[in-house]
Amino acid sequence: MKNKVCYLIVLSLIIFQQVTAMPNCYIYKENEKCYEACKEAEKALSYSQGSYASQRHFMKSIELCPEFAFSFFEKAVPFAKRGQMNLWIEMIDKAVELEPETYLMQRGWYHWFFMHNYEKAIADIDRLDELVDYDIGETGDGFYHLNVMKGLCYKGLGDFERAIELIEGCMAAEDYYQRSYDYLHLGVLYLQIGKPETALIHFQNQIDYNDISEAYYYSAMAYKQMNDPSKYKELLELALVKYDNRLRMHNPYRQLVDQIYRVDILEAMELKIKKD
Amino acid sequence: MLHQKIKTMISRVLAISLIFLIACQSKPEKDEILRHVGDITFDPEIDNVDFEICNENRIYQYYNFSNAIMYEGEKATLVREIHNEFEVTDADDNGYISVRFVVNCKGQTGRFRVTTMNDDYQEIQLSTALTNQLLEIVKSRKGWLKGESRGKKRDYYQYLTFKIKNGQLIDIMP
Repeated sequence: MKNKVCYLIVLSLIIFQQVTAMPNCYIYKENEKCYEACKEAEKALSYSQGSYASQRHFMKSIELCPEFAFSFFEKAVPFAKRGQMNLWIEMIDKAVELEPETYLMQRGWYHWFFMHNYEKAIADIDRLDELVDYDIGETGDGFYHLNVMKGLCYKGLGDFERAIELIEGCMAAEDYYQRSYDYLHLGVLYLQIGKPETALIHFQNQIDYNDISEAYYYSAMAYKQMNDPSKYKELLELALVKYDNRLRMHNPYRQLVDQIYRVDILEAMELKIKKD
Repeated sequence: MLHQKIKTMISRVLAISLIFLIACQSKPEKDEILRHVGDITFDPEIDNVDFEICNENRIYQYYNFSNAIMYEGEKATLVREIHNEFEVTDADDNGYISVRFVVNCKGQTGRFRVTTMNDDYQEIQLSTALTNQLLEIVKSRKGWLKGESRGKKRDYYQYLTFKIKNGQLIDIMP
């Protein structure tokens, strides 16, 4: 199971490089300009993302066929990754205008992932939900179902009850499959509403599925709420061991929700809690 | 015979011209590949002349390495340092302040560029006191780690985006 999670993470990071599939150019065969635009996009993808050559081919693609949404989306991606959302927004808005069913997910995900712009992320996911009659799917990196991501947006806004409702509702679906951190987030939310016993059940599920330091760290926090200094200390020590063995949340683009760092564990270890 | 010699000469001239033509066209193509979205070029009016970049032709991105923030004590330490220094101003702004910069192969920082945006990511003016304070806090950080790839220390682009609500610093990305 843990190997599967590992593979999923690696695969997801690879997928992040190009999260939306390149369209099959042959579907544009009837429209010569758009077919050429698609071929230009293919050329753009053959260069390093964000390089001048890549950008130049996307520009040519857009000039040839201004309704070819894929090139607007892909041209925008490196701007988002490099902290230039002011330059990303116009292009992604255009992609959404042209193909909302494909690109609302991308825009909503980026609002959340790069900017913690929860209101805008929720608005995009809700709009997508209204537009389609099929499962709205997952974030481009595959780490979250979009309804779980939406739940995490509500958590960011401080509405923990709504977040739990959304995440549990999503996970209860018959065809739902487990993602890397679902149980961890659910557990932390239960901690946030003061239900440490329920939180501990979810942390154990997280450990069984994907053994990460965060699950032990937040388990310690649950025991802190339950005034159990012995278990608090024990779980923090385990959290540190896991952390040092690199069993922890990780992403090269940003700090993930509920991700902790070594210093967080060390500081918690210094904190003495007393049993009533 | 003479006719044959002239033909050979013309062929050679054409061949040499073609080689030069290809060479002239290739050079800019090679240069173009080195230029990337988000590149920050030296501006003598605002940049520190003593800040050196080890390889101007190959500046990596922060995400080319394993962590979004490569800082001594990890992101948690950087965040604590920023919050410890940050002082609330009179501003009641909402939006984002983004600071992009280069961490060179010695772990020093320079070429700072600031963008202030509203929640729609439109560039707007936010409080100067707030913006300058955050820029100075970023400039004074000393814990950035050197990028390393293929056994060599590397320069890389990094950014920090501050989310501001009612003048308060509520989030730091990435």
